[in-house]
Amino acid sequence: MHLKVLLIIATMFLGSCKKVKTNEDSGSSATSFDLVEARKENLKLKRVNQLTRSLSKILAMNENQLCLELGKIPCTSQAHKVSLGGLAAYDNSQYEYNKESTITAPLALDRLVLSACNIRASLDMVNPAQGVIYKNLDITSDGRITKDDNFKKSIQTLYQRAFLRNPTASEYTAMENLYVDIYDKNSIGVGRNWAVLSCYTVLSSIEFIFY
Amino acid sequence: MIRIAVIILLSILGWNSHLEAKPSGARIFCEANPDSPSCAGSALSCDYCHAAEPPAFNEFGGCLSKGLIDNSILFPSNSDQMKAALAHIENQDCDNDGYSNKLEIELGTGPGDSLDTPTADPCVGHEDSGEDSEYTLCEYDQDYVYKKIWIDFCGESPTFDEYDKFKALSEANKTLGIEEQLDKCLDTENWMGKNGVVWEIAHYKIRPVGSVKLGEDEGLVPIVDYYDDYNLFLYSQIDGNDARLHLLADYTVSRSGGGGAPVRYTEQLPNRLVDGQVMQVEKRVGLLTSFWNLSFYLNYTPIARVLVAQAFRAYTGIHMSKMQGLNPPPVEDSLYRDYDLKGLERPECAACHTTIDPLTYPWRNYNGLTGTADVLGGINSPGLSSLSNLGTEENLTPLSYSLPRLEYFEDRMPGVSEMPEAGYIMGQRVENLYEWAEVMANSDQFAANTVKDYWRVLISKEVRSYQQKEFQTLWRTFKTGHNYDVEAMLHDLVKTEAYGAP
Repeated sequence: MHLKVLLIIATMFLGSCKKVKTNEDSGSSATSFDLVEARKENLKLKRVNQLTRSLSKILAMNENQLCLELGKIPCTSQAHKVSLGGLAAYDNSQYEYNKESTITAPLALDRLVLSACNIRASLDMVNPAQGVIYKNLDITSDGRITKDDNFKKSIQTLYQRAFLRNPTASEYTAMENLYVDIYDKNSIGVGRNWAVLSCYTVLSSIEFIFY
Repeated sequence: MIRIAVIILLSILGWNSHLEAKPSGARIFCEANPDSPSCAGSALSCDYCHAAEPPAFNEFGGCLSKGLIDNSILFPSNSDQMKAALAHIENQDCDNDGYSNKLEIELGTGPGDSLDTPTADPCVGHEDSGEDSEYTLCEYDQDYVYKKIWIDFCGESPTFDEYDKFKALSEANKTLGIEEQLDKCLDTENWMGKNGVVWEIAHYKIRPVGSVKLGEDEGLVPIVDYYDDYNLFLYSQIDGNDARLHLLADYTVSRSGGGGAPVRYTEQLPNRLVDGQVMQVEKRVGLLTSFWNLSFYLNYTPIARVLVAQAFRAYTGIHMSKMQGLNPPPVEDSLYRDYDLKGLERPECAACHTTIDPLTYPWRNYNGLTGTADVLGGINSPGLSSLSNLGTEENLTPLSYSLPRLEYFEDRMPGVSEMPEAGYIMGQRVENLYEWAEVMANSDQFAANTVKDYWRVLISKEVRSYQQKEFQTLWRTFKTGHNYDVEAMLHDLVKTEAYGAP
């Protein structure tokens, strides 16, 4: 539901429109980050191939690693290909793109991104020194994260890889608040859950899925 | 009262026939309005003036005919008369959508369709709010274009460092950077590989069917390999090649690489059967005579109406099913007749078929699958004189140029073999299929449709009214400036405001 609303809103707004004044030392911005109306109405939803390639690059994962339904059906090349704006030319004679997004697009996107983020977070937790996004996070024995420089650095890395920019100060705060919210819901495995959901929040956002 | 009486009288006297459905009306309208986006690089359909069931008029057609009656003039028979007729109603808004007929004709929307209205440029009246935006709204923004090129052509975003480095460049160097990045992305698998962007553009032209696929990605009933068609299409769209090649080439193209390795398309020496095509090399006409096209769209039929309609839709954007592009040659010249006994001499059929059927005549000797069972069974059927000279044009050979092809149908359609090979396309007489393809490939409609294929993928599904000027310039330059080089055209496309202004 959340994503569906975002998709509708995104037809009217262009993400990443406010210039952020980067604080070179902290890699953050002092200003807030609002959406600005796209005047030319030429905002486009990333199609399945663009989503797949982008997610693979950002998360440093093979395309087939991103998401498998039932553990074996690739999400982007098979299970959700059409939902995510792809064509089924050979098997279903769909030779041209749908004029509108399908009703299942938000659901399919959720599943794809959540799966990919889940795997990325797990890989980074297993081998923190080689972490692509969540590198060297200090996880306590009961699963909490120490809010040190590595925590902040992982947020910065996530934003840089996904949005090609640094997070603003308010976005840092939002990510910290996300951690608190997750902890309040369920303190078990909060560090890993935060990694999954912070990744999901960014990679299912308007700013990422539209261009 | 007097006016009603005059109308009734005119109807009785036969004047009304001058106001009814006329396939020539679209042609005359476009001669009078050659720069209208509805005509330039396009083809007017009957519903521009008519309701769903011609000869009933829509609001615009009704206005036009009323204007003719009110001014006691006949249906225009030339462009000057059409201009005069339109002048009588140019300031009217026949479909009550708030836009005058004149404006709608100029902007390419339907003056008889209240739902088809001009789109105003959202940037007209836009004032810079003074906010410090990431992008320059309503102006060409190089940073925005750089990121967009990456996603559209390479299929992924640049890295943070790449984007940061680009943003630090001067304006002139950014221009160069965009050109260089575009060139790099045009060589990626995402753009030119199997199932890449250009490959997907070809889907509606080739219309594959997975179940019959032969070879790579074999289907349940492997019969035909249509990947040859994709390869030729791709080859014509890359590396500075002439986009018209896919309609004119006599050779096939092989593909190598992919899966991470650089993708390459290589022209093959034409060699009948060995290169996967059955057609005699000297009779080949690009994708039009490919194994797949003939077997799927000509199939067992004597007259290539389906094939021609599909070719027009695929390569010119003209939909014959919507009665677009009707431009009948004189019957005495085209030798139009109901050759396959379908009742096509009835006026309601002849209105369209006087255009469609002469389009099919150059396919007269191009065989689909006619006689295949007899050939395989060694049966001496009509046209199949001997299995010993199978493959020559004197004999009936599937998927080949075959002079006795129509003789096969003579017992069911007496006289069908009298159909001529010379035909008409877009108002021009052609003696054979190669000339037919040349007319199509050199047409404005082919150029506009090729550019529109990419416009749809890169900018928007349809060309908006305020983008028409850039679109028209682009496809005209594609013909005369880029010499049908798609990559050169794309370099100009990314420079348009339509692409680069957020």
